[in-house]
Amino acid sequence: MGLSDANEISLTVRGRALDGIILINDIRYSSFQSGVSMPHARIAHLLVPGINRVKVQTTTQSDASGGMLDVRVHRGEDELAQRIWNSAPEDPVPPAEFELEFSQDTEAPTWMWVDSMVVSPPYPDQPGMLSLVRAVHSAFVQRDIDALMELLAHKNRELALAFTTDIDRANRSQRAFFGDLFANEPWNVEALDTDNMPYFSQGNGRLIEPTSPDGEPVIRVTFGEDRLNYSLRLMYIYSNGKWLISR
Amino acid sequence: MNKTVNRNTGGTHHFRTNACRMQKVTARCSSVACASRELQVFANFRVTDSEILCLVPHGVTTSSPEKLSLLGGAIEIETEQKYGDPSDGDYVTIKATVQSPCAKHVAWTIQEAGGASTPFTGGQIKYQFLPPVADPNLLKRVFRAVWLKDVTPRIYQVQYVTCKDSAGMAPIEVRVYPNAESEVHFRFGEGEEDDAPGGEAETISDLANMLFGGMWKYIQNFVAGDKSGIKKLKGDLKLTNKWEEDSDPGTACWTGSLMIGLDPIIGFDLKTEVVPALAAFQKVVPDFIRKWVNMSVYLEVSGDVSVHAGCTWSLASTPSEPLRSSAKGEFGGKVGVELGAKGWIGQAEVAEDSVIYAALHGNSSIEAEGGPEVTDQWEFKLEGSIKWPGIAVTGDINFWHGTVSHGKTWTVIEEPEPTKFGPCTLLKFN
Repeated sequence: MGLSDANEISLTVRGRALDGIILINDIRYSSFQSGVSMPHARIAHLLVPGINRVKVQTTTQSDASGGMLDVRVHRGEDELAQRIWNSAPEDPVPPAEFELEFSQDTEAPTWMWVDSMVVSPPYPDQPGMLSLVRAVHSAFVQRDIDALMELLAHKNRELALAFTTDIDRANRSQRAFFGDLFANEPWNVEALDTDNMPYFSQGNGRLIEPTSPDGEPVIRVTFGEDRLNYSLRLMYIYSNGKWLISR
Repeated sequence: MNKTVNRNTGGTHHFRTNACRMQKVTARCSSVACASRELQVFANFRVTDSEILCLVPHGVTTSSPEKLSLLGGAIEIETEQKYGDPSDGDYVTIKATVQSPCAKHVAWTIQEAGGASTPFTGGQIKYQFLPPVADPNLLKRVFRAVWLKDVTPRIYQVQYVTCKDSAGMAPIEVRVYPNAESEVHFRFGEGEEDDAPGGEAETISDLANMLFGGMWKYIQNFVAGDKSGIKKLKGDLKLTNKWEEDSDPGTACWTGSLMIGLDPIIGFDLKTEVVPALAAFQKVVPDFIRKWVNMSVYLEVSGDVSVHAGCTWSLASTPSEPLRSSAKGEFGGKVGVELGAKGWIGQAEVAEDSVIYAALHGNSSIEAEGGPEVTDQWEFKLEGSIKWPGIAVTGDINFWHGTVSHGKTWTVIEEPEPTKFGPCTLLKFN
């Protein structure tokens, strides 16, 4: 796997015959349909010092018999927490929510979003956030790697730290990725409609995610002959009087 | 088994106990204690014959709690002796309750079919009715159990006359069935003590293959090498059959049960990264994803399929009596099949740390369902089906730099034809 630090905390979710949403410290991390196999997902960038919580909210499919949900948190190879549900005649209904609690090393970095301002509508300097959203969208339309790298600089610095990766190496990786991605034809970026763009508040009101009306990321691209989908979920924080792309 | 049977002649002879009721648990006493039984003959037959003066015209004064009455021309008993061991038999006391002092004038004869007649006098006799000699030609084996259905009873004729009834009564026929209970009990999956299936029991051992048939071939395609994650057959098969006195008066019945509890009949708890057939999976992964994410896929199969089925039956010796039977149970289970992803070190130089997670969505289950039945052809059958929709997944890769997903579903394993098995006849009663 891609974990470069043997002590990195990871999340493994396996499910069968279930749909669900995975939240880490009240931040939407991923969702799944008809079961999932997601081994050793990296979550360090969403953790806080002290107690952390992983929630998996499930919705049962029409027939959950034979269903299963297995959620585990590891530090390296060591298991920190786990919860398992296996469908059985005496226990046929999956729990609506799995919650796992585990402790993060108090010496772990404190991310800027953890101490950022809790905001609620009407958001402070909303035009400032909107201009950032537009700038990111424009960078994808223009396939402008430099502009994108600059917009994502804060996020990249913290992720490099979270994943114990050298920032220069991380930047090279990101440039290579966007270069590879932007080289695809056809390249269709979905239009941005800031008039119909709800804001999804997460991380106890500190992380704000602009979304499409159906809750999807606002940056969505269809690319290449395989018609792959690319999407970029971005969460913004308001810190020191300005908006930043944090996650 | 001490039992008092009232003889109430003049009609059809029957002999009623509760012994043949389905699933009845009968506590057996020792053969010594059981070797005596009393047959009371109440001479109220031919009551139209006015010349019979010394006979009690009616009245059943038995100590039996079962208030038995004989209404037919034959009595069937099952002895406590095993089939093929005719050295000892049940002692049956037969009394003629007559008006005093005529009891001394009663003369009896008991004659085994084809044998000599044995005379007795007095108001009662005690006679040992022996069980039949085992006839090897009649013995069949089903799952190693001796099949006792076609046992021929040993037949005696009992007759008596009184001083006032020199013509005598119509003989009473006593048919003696062996009290042979044949039971076999196979246990599977319990270590060295396992019963090694043999003979017809191989049917059970092979049941997994039979049931899974084509499905098994699919599984084998994906499971190379180590098959230690395939769970061994575990459970019991118990077959009993015997003769016993029927709830229908004066008749014996052949009863038995077959109970199968195989849990699992087959089960899986395996995870294999060696999945040759999934090479096709790699082909459906777009180049862009393969460049950045070289997922190692594995197939994980977990779950059990079990069979719990049983039937009981009771068949009276009277040819016209229908088979009384019941079957219950189920064949079922779900085996989850997951396609998992492990590892995502891409080919690109700096790809390793770029991936936050890779997830595959869409697992499936192999579903088994079915059950047993007893047909009107006197067969105990099991049938069912196994369905598997194959595996179709979607995947998404979450990089630092965004999420890439395929817009369509990857069909990794096409849905195979449903596997049906049966109806397979596990037992035939006739």
